[in-house]
Amino acid sequence: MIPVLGLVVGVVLGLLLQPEVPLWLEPYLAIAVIAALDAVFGGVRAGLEGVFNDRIFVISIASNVVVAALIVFLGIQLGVGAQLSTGVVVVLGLRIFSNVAAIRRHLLGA
Amino acid sequence: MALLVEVLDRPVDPGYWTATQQRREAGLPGQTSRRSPLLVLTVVLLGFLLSIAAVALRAPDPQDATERRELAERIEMAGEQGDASAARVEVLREQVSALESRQDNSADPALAAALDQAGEQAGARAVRGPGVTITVDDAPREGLEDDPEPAEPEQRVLAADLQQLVNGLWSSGAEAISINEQRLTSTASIRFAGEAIIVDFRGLTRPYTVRAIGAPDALAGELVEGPTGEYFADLDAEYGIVMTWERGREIEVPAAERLSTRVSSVEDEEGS
Repeated sequence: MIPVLGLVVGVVLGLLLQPEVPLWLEPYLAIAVIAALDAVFGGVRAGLEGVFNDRIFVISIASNVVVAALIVFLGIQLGVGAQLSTGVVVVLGLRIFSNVAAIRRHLLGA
Repeated sequence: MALLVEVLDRPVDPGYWTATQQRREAGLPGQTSRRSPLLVLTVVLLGFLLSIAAVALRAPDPQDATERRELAERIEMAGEQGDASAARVEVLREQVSALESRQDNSADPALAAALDQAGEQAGARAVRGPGVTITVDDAPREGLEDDPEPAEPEQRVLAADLQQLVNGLWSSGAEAISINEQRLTSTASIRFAGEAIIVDFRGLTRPYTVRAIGAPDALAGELVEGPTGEYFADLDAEYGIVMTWERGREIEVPAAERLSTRVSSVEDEEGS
């Protein structure tokens, strides 16, 4: 319950403060959100399977975001930023789907 | 296959299992608390990231779209007002010339003729007569007629090309010239604004139709053998810009829209 409350607090904070995002950061922002979502679903699934660990959760989020940003940065430097971003989105999207499927099996038994 | 299995039936992140095993071996419960400050902090940060990403990346920005639409509406409204004013100017000018002719006929035929001539020269009256009609257009692109993308920059007609053409026509004796129904007066200009050609402060679109009234033979000679003809032959050879022309017995060049009185004086004495 408390993590969900924390999420809501964070969302409200973001909406209230509305910080200005510099333009160069925008391609990374979308990728960072998807990478973080992947880690979140992984964490939820671990919680349902009884193996949740906050340290691992934080590390997985941080490493996901950093690696995704690195890949996009490399792509931009090589001139294939859009394609590599798409690749990252596809891979992370697949992972999110499989994690959500596992969560669904735990919660609904189907 | 390994990739498919990995995608469809991925086990939970191995890190979680190792960490749990280590904790169990150390005699702790398998899971950490859901209330640890680290977790709460991370989750707050995550929510923050989510909402700023949503706010920053949401496209198109509805505020921008509204402003753009309002701007477009204002431009259209101003354009309509301008057109209405131009039509009214036309009507009023006809009234003025009708009044003038009524008065002049009764007073002084020589004055009326002088006024007529001055009106023609200044572009205040539409002029009809023999002359040539010239059409200038950007280089054609094969099979891309419907392509809305403009041609290569160097394959477009420039303001300088139209200036060259118009100056050639004036120098070979043209009496009145219009480009796309815009009469060229002594104060009219042909300019570039961005990528559009502006004639007398009106933006024009291709193709450009130039009507010139004057001795058709002299004008045609200029277009075939004169410097203007050579200039456009070069343009055609280099960039593919198209220039066609034909003689006309009865060409109409409209009156200028933007005419204003700049200098006037009061007559000293009656009849002087």
